[in-house]
Amino acid sequence: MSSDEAITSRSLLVTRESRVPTAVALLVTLVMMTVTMVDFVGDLQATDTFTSETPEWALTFEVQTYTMQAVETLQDDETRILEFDMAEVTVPEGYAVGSINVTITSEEEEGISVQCDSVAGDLIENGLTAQWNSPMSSLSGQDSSCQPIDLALQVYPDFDGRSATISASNEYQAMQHWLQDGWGDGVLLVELDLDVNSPLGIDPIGQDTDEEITVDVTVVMFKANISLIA
Amino acid sequence: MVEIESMVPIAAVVDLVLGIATLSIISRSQGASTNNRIVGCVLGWILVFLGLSYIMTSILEFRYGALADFSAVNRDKVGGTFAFTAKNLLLSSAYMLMVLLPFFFPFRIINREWDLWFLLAGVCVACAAFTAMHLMTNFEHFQVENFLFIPGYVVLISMYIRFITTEVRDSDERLRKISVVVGLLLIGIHGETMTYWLSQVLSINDLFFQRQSIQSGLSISAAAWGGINTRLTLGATAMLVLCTGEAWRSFKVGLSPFGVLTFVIFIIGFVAGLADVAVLDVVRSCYQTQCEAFPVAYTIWYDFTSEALVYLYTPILFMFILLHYDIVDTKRDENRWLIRIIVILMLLIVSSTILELIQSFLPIPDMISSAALAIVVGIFIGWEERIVNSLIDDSSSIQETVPDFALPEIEHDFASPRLFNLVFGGVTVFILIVSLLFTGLGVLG
Repeated sequence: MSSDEAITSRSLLVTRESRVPTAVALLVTLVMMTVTMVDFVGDLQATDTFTSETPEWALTFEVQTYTMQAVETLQDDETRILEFDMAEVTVPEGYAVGSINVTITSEEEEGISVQCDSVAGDLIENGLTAQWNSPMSSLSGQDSSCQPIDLALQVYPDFDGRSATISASNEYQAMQHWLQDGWGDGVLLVELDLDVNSPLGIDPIGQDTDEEITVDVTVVMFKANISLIA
Repeated sequence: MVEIESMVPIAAVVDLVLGIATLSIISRSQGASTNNRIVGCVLGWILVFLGLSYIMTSILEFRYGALADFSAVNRDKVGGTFAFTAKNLLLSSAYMLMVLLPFFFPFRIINREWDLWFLLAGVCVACAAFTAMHLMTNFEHFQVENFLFIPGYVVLISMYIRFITTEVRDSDERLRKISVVVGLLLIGIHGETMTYWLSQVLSINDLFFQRQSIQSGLSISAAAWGGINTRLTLGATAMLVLCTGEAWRSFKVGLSPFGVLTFVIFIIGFVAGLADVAVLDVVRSCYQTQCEAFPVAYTIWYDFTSEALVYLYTPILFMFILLHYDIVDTKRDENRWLIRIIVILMLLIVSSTILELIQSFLPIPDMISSAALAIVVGIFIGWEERIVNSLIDDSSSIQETVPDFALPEIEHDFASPRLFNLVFGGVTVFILIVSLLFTGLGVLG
C-alpha cells in the first residue's frame, strides 16, 4: 500500500483485487445458508410433529393354527407324560406363536359301568419359552364327568388375538412389541393322570381298567398388522 | 484399555488456567497499548466464560450422566438445574465476546471514541437480553445468538481475502501475519463447525440435529434451528475460503505451517463428511424406527477430531495468538516465568489427554503409556526454553508488524483491565445468581 493512501476501516477489509473473491465467498455463504435453512426448516416441522404428537395405530392380527394330536391308552392309576416338540410346528413367514391350547378328551367305552373315569391333565413348566405365570395361562385341569379338559398356555406376551388401538411415534415403534423372536421354542409336556371309576366302586370281573385319552394341541400363530388411524 | 472419557473437565481446567493467567498478566502489563489491553481482556474473559461453562458441563456429566452424542446435554435429565442454566448462560456470554472480537482484533475496525463502550455495553445488554429470553422461554431459543456471528464472519473473511491477495500481489511477507491471525481467529471461533464442512455442503447436518432433538425430547424453535444452521454454514464456508486461499497461496508462494493446519482440518472435515454419510441409517433410526447407537469407531473419530479441536486445541490456539502477537507483554521478565509455566502446563495437559485417548482404543499397556508420557515430559522440560522462546522471541504486535496498516490508536485511559474485570466479573456473578434464583424458584424444567 502506498504511503499516501489513507488507511480506513474499509480499506482494511476490501481492496480492488479482493472485492470479487470476497463477494463470491459471501455469495456462496448466502446460497449455502439459504439451501440448508430450507432443509433445516423442513426437518424442524417433521421433528416437531414427531416429538409433539403421538399418532394412534390400529393393531389387528391375522391368525393361523397348527394342530397336533396324540391318542393314548392309560391304565388305572397311571401317570404319563406326552411330549409335543414345537420344532415340528411350521410357522409361516412373518408369523409368531401366540398361544397353545390343549384339549384332553376321554372316552368311556369299556366296562359295564356308566360312571365316568377321573382324568387329570397338567402342562408341565419347562424350558419352553412362554408366559408360564400369565393369568391367561391355564396349566391344570381335572374332570370326572366325561367332559373335555381345556388347558391353555400363553406364549407371546400380551397376545390375546383381539384388535387394539395403540399410541406410538412411528410404525416401527408401534410394531416393535410384536416383532420379538424366540417365543414358543421348546417341547410342550402334557402330563396325564387316570383314575378309573366303577359304579359304587364295584367291578367284579375287572373289565374297566383303562381309558383311551385323546390330546389335541392347537398352536395359535399370528401376524400383527398395523395401520395409521387417520 | 481404558474407557473413553470426556475431555470437558480437562478443557475446563485448561481454559480457566489460561484465562486467569492472561488476565493476571494483562493487569500487570502497565505499558501495554489500549488495543492490546482490550483484546487481552476479551480473550481472557472468553476463556474464563468457556472454562466456567465447561465446569458446569462436567457437573452435569458426572452428577447426572447427562452427556449424549456429540457432547450434547440431555435436557430431559437436567433441564431446570442450576448447572444446566449457568452452563448455557455462560456459553452465551462467551459467544457475545467472540462475536465482538473481530471488531477489535487484529484491527480495531470501528476505531471511534465510543467503540469500547459499545463492546462493554453490547456484552452486558446482550447478556441480559439473552438471559431473560432463555429463562422466559426455557431455553427453547438457545443458539439463536449464533446469528450475531454473521457480522464478525464478514469482517474476518473479508480481511483474510484482502490480506492474502495483497501479500501475493506485492510479495509483502509481513502481511502473512495478518492473514494467519485472521485464519486462526476463524478456526478459534468456528473450529468445530469447520470439521463438519462436507456434511453442511451435503446438507445432512440437519438430520443429526433432528436425531438429537428426538433423543433428548427437545422442542426447539425455528429461531434456534436457524442459529445452529447459521453457525454450521459459517464454519463450512470459512473452511472453504481458508482452504482455497491457502491452496492459492501455496501455489504462488509456497506451503506454510498455517496452510498445513488448514489442509489438515479440511481433510478431517472431508473424512468426517464421508463418515456422516456412512452412519446416516443410524442417524435416521430415531425418526424412522428406534434410536440406534453410533458405532464405536465413529465415536472415537469424533473424539479425536471435532471434540479435541474444541476442547484441547482451541485454548492452545488462543494461547498462541496471545503470545505470538504480543497481546500480553511477553518481554518483561516478571511475566516470562508465568508464561513458561502456562505453556508447559498446557502442552503437558493436552499431551497426556491425547495419550489417554489413544490408550482408550489401542491396547497399549499402562506401563508403555506412562513411559510415553515421561518421554513427552522430558522433551518439554528439555526444550522448555526453546519452545517458549520460539513463541515469544518471534512475537510482535500487529502494530509493530504492519505499522502502515494500523489505524491511529485512540487511547482510553479508562480502558483498564480493572474495568473489564469489573464488568465481566459482574456479568458472571449476575449469571450465577440468576441461575440459582430461577433454579430455586422451580420455574425451569
